[in-house]
Amino acid sequence: MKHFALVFLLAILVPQECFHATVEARDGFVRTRGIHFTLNGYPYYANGFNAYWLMYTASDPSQRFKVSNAFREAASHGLTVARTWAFSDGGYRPLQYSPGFYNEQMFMVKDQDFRHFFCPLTCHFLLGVLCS
Amino acid sequence: MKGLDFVISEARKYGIKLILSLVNNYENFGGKKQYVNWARSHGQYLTSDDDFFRSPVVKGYYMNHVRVSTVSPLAW
Repeated sequence: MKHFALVFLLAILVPQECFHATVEARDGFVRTRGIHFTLNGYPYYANGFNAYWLMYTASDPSQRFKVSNAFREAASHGLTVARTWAFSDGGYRPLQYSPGFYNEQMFMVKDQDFRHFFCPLTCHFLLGVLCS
Repeated sequence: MKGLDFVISEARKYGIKLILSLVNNYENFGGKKQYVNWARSHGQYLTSDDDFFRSPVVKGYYMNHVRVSTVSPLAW
């Protein structure tokens, strides 16, 4: 059953993503072409930084200026990518406080725009293997 | 507006792309260990944090987390 579900998932995701790669989607998401990253069809070179604390800090409105400052300073130094935590499982001020249960102070999807943000990240692992 | 939404919105504002990690290999902010402990508290007998990669129950928890984070705004 699980294998069937996986095959089904691949059948949905992969052709779609291959199609995007072919037409060079111009949706603002970084994608892969062979061994290169591309953005809107052009080669993309990342210069990035780690900041695990962004979501945690932004969940307290009085601390949000720190997130804004970090992005502003990073951008002023030419950085273009941030790797950050979109998880916080259990413990103090968690995102997911129990399996499948979420704290809306941390994260609330409000529109369909949001899902497009994640999807390329997960799909590109498949893309790299199956489409190149 | 909530924590992660604010982060994503600000990143876009400053032209910064995000790589969003969905779980930790280490114990900080939960990670594998928290998932395994959740399964233990639901009656699973697990001996290692690496059962994160083996236990169908744990994998189910994580796959659900990925699903919520990726394709299911309606779940909110």
